[in-house]
Amino acid sequence: MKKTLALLLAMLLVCTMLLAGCGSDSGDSNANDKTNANDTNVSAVGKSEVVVGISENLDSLDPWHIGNGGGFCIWPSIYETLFCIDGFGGDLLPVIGKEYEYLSEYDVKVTIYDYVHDSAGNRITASDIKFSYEMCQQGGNWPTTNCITGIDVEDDYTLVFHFNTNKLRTVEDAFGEIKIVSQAAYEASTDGMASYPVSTAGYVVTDFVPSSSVTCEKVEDYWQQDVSLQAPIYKQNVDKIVYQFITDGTQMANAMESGDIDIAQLISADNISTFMNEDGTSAEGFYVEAALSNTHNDVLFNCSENSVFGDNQALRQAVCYAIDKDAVVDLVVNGYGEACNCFGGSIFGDYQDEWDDQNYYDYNVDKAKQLLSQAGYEPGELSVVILTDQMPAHTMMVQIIAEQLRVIGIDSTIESYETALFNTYKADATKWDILVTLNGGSAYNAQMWQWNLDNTYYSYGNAIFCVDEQMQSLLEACLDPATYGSEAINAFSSYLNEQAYAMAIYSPQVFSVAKEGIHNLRVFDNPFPQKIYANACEYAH
Amino acid sequence: MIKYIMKRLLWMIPVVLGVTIFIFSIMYLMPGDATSVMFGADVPQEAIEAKKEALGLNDGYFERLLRYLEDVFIHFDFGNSIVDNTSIKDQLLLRLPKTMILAFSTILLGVVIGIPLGTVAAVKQNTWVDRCAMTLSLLGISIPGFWLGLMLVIVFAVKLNWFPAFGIGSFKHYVLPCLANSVTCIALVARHTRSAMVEVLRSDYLVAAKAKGLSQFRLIFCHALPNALLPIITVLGTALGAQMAGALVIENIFGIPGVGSYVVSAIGNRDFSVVQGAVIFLSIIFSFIMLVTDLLYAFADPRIKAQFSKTKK
Repeated sequence: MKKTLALLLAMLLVCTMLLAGCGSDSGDSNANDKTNANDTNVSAVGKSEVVVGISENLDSLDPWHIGNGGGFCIWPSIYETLFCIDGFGGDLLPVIGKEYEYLSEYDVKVTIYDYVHDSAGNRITASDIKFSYEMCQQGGNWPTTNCITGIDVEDDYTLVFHFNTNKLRTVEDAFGEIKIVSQAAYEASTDGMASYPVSTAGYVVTDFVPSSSVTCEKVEDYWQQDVSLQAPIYKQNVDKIVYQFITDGTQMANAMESGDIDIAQLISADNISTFMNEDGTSAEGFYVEAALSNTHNDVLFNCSENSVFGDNQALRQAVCYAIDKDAVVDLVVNGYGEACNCFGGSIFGDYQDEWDDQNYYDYNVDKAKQLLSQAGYEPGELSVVILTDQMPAHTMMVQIIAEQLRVIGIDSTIESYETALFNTYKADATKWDILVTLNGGSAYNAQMWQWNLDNTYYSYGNAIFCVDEQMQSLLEACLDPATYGSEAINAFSSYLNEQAYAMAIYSPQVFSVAKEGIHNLRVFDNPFPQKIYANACEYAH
Repeated sequence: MIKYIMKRLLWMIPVVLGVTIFIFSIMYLMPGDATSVMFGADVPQEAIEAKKEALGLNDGYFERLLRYLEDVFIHFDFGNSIVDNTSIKDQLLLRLPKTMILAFSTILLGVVIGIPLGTVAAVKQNTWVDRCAMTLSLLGISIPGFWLGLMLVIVFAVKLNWFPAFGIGSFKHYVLPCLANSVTCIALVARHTRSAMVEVLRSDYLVAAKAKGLSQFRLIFCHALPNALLPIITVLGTALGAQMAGALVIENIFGIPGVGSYVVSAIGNRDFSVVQGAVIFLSIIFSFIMLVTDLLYAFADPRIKAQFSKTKK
């Protein structure tokens, strides 16, 4: 028996040791394979290296894989696009595409550089661009390509894109988001470049452990050697980048504090005090970059016949007046945010300066009570369902809103679901009265208005189930380049405020942190929480 | 014995089939699908419908179930993730070693620390040693793993800089997660060992052995402990099975790309293929662990071994 026990213990020990060996081996062999595959392009050892903490996991490096926050930081190291957008809501800058020209309202001619090649040496021509866009459309993961009805290759370096719409930002989004690879390299890949990408940008992947890390090294013969022609986000400012996935917010702060990482993509408002002084300056040894986010947290009312808000403007207004936006900012994000002055964010291109001073349902309990009575309800008589997702900020926000509604005499039931259920239930008019959700955009508030309020956007109408012809025509004027302008924007916003179909509460601040000596993490003055560029930020070597 | 093993292996077929149908049905009946997570809310309905059609999500229950059973049991293929199109089998095999390191280390610490702790507590029953050991084990069961993990990181990674705060790659990376993960297991094993040992130590044959003048060491380690092993093996077997899928919190905190974190992320993304594939994979592993546990009973207890031999005759 003694021998059996000893044997069992020894077996357990051996198994553990073998497995430990297996674990490290697999990663190493992976790295070796890749290094060999890209031998000629990988820089020598002993150069600058940066470790970046990424807050979302990534399981595939497939160029047309559905995007997430983690991927957005890594893609510019591996894949280039036709053009890149010059900052928030900006114009297109050349990348692989040299120039573009509108042939008509719906047709755009693109000329690409004639010396583009990938890290394996394959030349990139117009047919590769067409291939990349068609593969992306086939995958169905990038709805921005749905507006492209066809692509004609004119010669090796010229092609014409045909669009089915000329709405705001259609061309910019289509040209600035889709990653380009060579057809030869993609077809040679056994796994659709999920783990062995052939790079078109300034770095090549030398090691990839799904959900753990991506290691990239500088490509020595990067096709765009002329630094003045390199797009701002496609620089090669460091020799080696290790992207580490750290999904736990507290662990991200710990890793930054312990020096395990050099750059943290996102540090939450709860943890930022370690890296930032009270006056907003960076703490010693760190560099903090803060920006108002391109997202905002909103309240939307169910305007269908299934809800009490459907035909009751006074009731919607009562709720809007009952919510103290500044209190929400203080309690949810420790004051690191901005209460909204319109249904949208102040950083967007179409935000009007005069909205700063308008009364956007400023907190007023008396008026809220008066409007509730005008709406036909006595205090305590009405109970509503608030639907939200399980984002920590939202679960806290709905509790505050429920309490503020209770003050004017409206009871509420909070229903909080994870993303899949939330997205399913928000499309069901019988499931909620008030929706607390996150909205955002890439350039203009008008885009976000379309996603929420355009009657033709979803099979069931718009996000609030509201049929309002006047709002629809005002919105269409904002989306049509021919009528777009301050007048149209103001007209729509005023109408929306008056009807109180929806109200934006606050935009949060987002923080990225780096070790002292690393600057300009977002490259542009960009408010995307997910976009920092380790390959293009500034290093004091 | 071989006949018994073969019988148990054959029994695994209906078990895995049952698990497959059960998990498929649950995922099918759950509201929401992968497209609602992949695209979020700001995408036109046509794009979502086109993706659903391409993924076969609009097909009926039986059509999808039969297609899946055929893939799994005839082609031995779990398919690809519908979110990122990676091979589920490859992902599971890539992640399994990391989870196994964590699971086996946890069990090893449970054996190396938990059994001696429980044995000492039983031998020194109702003394301060027993009380200290049981208080420690009570603490071990009560402390949440994620909290302990973060505390270990603050002390040993942030303040002392002895170990990395996260990630994989070297032996040092696994020290903090293994410690954080094993505390509950050590406590559990210690409590079960104590309770089993207390019972055995009261047995007549041990009193007789003691009266014959056997040394305390031989009494405990050669006679008492082997006879108290059965409940401990049960606890260790169950704990190992649970660890294979249940170390997800520790995996998430320490950035270890294991099986648990893969499944949880897939559930959140409504990635049916991954959830189904991973559950079937884990059910096979769990069945094997339970088979090994049952076989260990035979080694630990000659009476069970004799039963096997009797069946053979």
